[in-house]
Amino acid sequence: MELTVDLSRCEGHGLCEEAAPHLLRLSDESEPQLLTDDIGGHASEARSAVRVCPVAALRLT
Amino acid sequence: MNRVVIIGGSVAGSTVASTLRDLGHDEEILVVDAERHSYARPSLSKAALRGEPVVDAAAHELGITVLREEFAVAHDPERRTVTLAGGDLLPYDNLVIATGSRASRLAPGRDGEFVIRSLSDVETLRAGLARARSVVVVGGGLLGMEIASACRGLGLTVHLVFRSTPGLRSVGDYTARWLAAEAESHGVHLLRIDGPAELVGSPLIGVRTGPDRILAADVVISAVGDVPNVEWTPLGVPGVGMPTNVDGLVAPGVYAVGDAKAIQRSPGSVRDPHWYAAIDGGRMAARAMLGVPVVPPPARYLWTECFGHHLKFAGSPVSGPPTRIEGDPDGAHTAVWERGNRTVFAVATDMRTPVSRLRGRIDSPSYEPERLRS
Repeated sequence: MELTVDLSRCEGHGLCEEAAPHLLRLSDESEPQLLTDDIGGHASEARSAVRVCPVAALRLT
Repeated sequence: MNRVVIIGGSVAGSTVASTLRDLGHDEEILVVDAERHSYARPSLSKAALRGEPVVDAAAHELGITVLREEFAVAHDPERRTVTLAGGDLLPYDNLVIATGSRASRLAPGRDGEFVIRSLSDVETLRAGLARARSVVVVGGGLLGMEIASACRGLGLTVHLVFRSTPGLRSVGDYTARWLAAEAESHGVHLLRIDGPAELVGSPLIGVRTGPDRILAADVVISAVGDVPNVEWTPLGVPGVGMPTNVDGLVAPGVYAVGDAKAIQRSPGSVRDPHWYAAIDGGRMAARAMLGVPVVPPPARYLWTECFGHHLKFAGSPVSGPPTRIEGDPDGAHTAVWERGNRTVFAVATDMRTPVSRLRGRIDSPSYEPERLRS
């Protein structure tokens, strides 16, 4: 399971960080950064993060 | 508790489903989604209109049953059943109505009126735009601005027709005027009309802008609001929505979330058809259903992308110039409006400010979305 961020689309809304606190943290530039490679261990958070992103910048594959 | 049936699989309905699971509900959840794919609706007038992919393949939780391309046609609140278009009768213990809304039309039944509310609307519009050289967009909201921006990006001649400055109600007069100036500097022709817009022809050829004047265009796009999809249930009020309390409760065992939710006020009711309200409302309804204390959400939140800018808004807009501008007034900055010693509205222009931080700047926010016609 892989979570990818399209930074060209991301505008730093940060809803993903709220939805997936164990997976993502915003950098000082408000870019989501992965806290772990174990996406599958937080699959529910990963799906929530993808779903709440208003600019469709996150993708779970 | 038993079976939860959620009619509507967009962000409001799927937020209810995932919040129920997060809170420990481990019984059956069934989502009925009229769409073939899941996607983020706000991206329709932005990335999707530019032709970028927006479909989300992983929208729903594992362990939740999703019936796709299916929708409800009848509801019996006494027997607690919903009838689907395909003929299935679904019994429920708790029902969530997340059927959203459809675009309002100015010329229903006539060919050639384009709208944006669903992915199929955008696909239809893009096909129309591919053959067009000129577009007229009708509407006084941020959506009309976004569509005008995208159409300019495609190299089309664009007129935007409105009665009050686009975005005025959502973002206040100061920011709305700034957006209008940006639109004009990007070549959009702004045209204010006095009365309701009248679309001309069948198929449509343009918009009447005066007794003897018709503004002709290859494509006519209406961005004039939305109509809640509630005709299928006797608990819905056509043209108004699903009457609820703040948490989304309609009747025992029935909740409404998202664009169809109409919070009861005295008098009237208020819908708040925006992304943040769908997510906040979805979380609130799930908590209410499980008897978990409902946390009031923070300040309301909107954003727009147009003419090369992205703007985020928190709080309730007030008139006049900002109290304070932080940053470069001609570039990336945050404008703050204070009333008394309270911050009531903040606008981040071209700033990568997270929503939580911008919302956190609003003092004692009340969850009071804009009042619409009741």
